[in-house]
Formats: sequence, C-alpha cells, structure tokens
Amino acid sequence: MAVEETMASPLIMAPQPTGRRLVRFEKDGGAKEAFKLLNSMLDIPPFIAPEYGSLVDTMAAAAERDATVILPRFSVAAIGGGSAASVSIAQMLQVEGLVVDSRPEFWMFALGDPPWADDTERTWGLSATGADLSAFTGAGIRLAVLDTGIDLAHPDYVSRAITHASFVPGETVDDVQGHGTHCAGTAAAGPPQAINVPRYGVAPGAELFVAKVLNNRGAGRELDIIAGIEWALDNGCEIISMSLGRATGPQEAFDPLYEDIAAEALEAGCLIVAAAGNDSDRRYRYVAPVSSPANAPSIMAVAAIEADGSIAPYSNGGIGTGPIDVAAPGSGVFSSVPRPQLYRTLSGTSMACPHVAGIAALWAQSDPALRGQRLWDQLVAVAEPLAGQSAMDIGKGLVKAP
Amino acid sequence: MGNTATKRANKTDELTSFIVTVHDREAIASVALKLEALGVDVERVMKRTGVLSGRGPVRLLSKITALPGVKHAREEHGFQLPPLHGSIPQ
Repeated sequence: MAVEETMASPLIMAPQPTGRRLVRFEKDGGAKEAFKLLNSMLDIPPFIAPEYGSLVDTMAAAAERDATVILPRFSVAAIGGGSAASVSIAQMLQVEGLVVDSRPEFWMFALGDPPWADDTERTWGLSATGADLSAFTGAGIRLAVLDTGIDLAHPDYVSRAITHASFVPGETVDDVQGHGTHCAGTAAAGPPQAINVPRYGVAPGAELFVAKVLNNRGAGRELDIIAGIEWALDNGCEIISMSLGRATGPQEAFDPLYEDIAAEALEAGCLIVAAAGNDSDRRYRYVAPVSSPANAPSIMAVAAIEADGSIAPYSNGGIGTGPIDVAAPGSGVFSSVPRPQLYRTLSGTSMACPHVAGIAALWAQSDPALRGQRLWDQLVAVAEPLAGQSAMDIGKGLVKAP
Repeated sequence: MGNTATKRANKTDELTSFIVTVHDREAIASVALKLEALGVDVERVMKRTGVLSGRGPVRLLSKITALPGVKHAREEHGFQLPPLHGSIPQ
C-alpha cells in the first residue's frame, strides 16, 4: 500500500522574473557607448538615474511605463518593453561587444517573508518563525508535551534524556498512534540522525518532558490530561504543549476548570499552549470557534498557517468566546513519527501548537524573567502580523524566535 | 409512565466520573473527605492544580457542587484525535 508523504517534499522556489532584462556593461567607455546605442533602439526613451528629479521618482516613473532604466554609476541597465523585446535588445548590444553579462531581472523579497518552504537544512516552520537563525536552543528550559507519548527508541530520541510518564492505564509512554512523537519532535527534536533530513525541532536544547495522556487510539480522559499538567508542574516545566481538545458550540463559554488550572500554572511560571482546533472549512467560509481547552483565557490558543502565510482552511477562529492568541506553521509540517516510518508530514493546529511551545522555550532561555504571564506577553508582543490575515484568525500574528 | 420514571431513576444512579475544583488548594484534603462522605469514590487529589476526581452516581452532582470549598464540579469528558493521516487536519 502506498504510504503518503513519508518525507518532506520541498517546494522549489523558482526565481520570479519581472519581464525586464538586467544588462551590465564594460565600465571603461563601453557603458557610455552602450547607453547611446540603447537610446537609439528603444521606442520609449530610457530613464537615466538621476537625470530627472530624485532617484526614487525616476525609478517609479520608469516602472510605471515599463521603461528602461539606466544606472550610469554601476554601468547597468534594466531593459524594459517585455521579456522577448528586452532579450533581443540585449543580444544586439552583446553582438557589439559592449555587454559583460545579461540576465532576467528577478523580483526580490525580504528574507523571512512568505512563502516559506522546506529545504535540505530546515523545515519551513523553522524558517517562518526564525527558529533556525536563533542564538537560543531552549537549553535549561523544561518543556512538556502532553499527547500520545513518544517513540523513545526513534533514532532521533534514543540518546536523548527524556523525562516521561504515562497517565493512560495499562499503556507505557511508547507512542503507537504517532501524534505525540510528531508534536514532541516539532517542539524540541535535536539534530536528525538520518542523512538528508532537515532540522525540524524548534527548541533542540530544551529539556523534553513527555506525558502520555492520550491512549494508543488517540483518545484520552480529561483527568489523565489534568494529571499530566499536574506532573509537568511538579517537575517545574516552564511550558506545556497540548495539541488536543474538543470542538465547542457557538457562544459556548470557556470551561472554568481549565481556566482555573491554567491561571494557577501561569502564576507558578508555567505557560500552557493549546491547539485552537481544526473544525473550520474556509472553502465554504465556515469558521468554527476555538476548541476547549484552548478557549480558556489563560491558555494560549494557537491557530495554524500555511507556508504562503495565509490562515489554514481548517484552523478555528476567534469568533466565539475565546480568541486566537497567536499563529504558527501548521500545514505540511515535517516531523518525527514512530518507527519504522520515522518521519511524516502532517497538518493541523496540533502541528502549530508545538511550534509555539518551542519558540516559547527559546524566549524563556533568552531571559530568566520571561516566565508565565511575562513569557506570554513577550510572545504576543513580538508576533508578526501577516499580510491580509485578520486578528480573528491569527491573533497577534506569527510567533517569532528571539 | 412507570417505565419512564424507572428509567429516569436508573439514569441518576448511573456511575460517572466527576471533576471537582476547589477554592483553596491547601484545603483540598478536607474537600476530598467531604466527597467521600457523600458517597464519591475519590480517585485523584491533585493539590497543585486544585483538582479532585472521583466516581459516583450522577445524581450526586448537585450535592457536590453545593459542598463548601467546591468551586466547580461537573462530569468528566474525553478527547479523541482523528486518525493520523496526511490529508486529515490533526
């Protein structure tokens, strides 16, 4: 049977041409001759910077007319008039022996802006959050993942010191279902042991605590989950990641049980983050409210975004009583799963949640004062709004690493 | 009519799991004792989070809620993940 996406399939980010041709001329005399020749070949006269007004105005005016721009200082011209015409003109100049080199002009993008893509070094989630460039690894920070457990014998964890406990009667912490190993991996996996596997753990230096609160079928009792929170607090964890929840009805109030627990945790210096839920279907403009327990005010509710920076179609929104607090990469997330498959790409707010937990660990390491509510405040303060996305969907925005 | 009444009585006698939070975490042990006195089989006492759990007949819920020191009480729910699949949001 075919198994879907056992490895990440990196998106190929091809350069995007503007339609103009970028030509570099010989500096010593050649450029002047070339510019003269170029002038005679063009239907629309070229804009020579800074011949008319300021350089900014000149560039804007040229762009508006798709005209050629000459930059004498650098002996460079961007030839307009469409890609075919500009290639033809560049070739004629080349025949005259005036051209050093010529190539299409490409659109440039600010580094760190969407769209992101997996590459050989890192997953797109690490690029989007800036975790791959952070000076921090989460070292010294205790991060708990409450889920279906973890495959302790997975090559990426076999030599890792992981504190673990199972709150599921009759089951060890070993992950059979797979969800827990994926979430723990996103939060805190170290460098992958296999070759050709990108880094996928946000906080590889964090102390990983894994509580099995969902059984091998992916089901769990609330009490086991609360016991897992208690265990994490007893162990001094600064962050708890919970990629679990249940759908809520419209205008359903948050559960005071979870609010009490999370408020106590914040007071004790522990931040709880939870998945906002996947009950929406934005293809039909249907947006479901934030799940429980993520809708509790003292639990950080995490929405999922796609690699192009848009809200994921399934991600719940802050339409009911509980808002979205922040967003994180959730679609097409590559991480670990139990042997023998080892790696898999999955989507959901469950995948976004451990990104936030990992980023929180990086911030917590960066400043010992950032604990509990102060850690929360820092995460939302530096979260980055995303173009075209509403606060209802992504809260304060995409979480960012220090 | 008689059957309906019997069914209703049976329903209230059904055993369920309760989750109870307390006002004062330091006094959680005394709340546990009160729950046991009501007939609740107390399973877990979690002092740090201020949560107690136990099993007993559904009909006890209103009495548990009214106990001094109890902040909230309700029946326990469960969570269920969807099947692990690349095309199903997790």
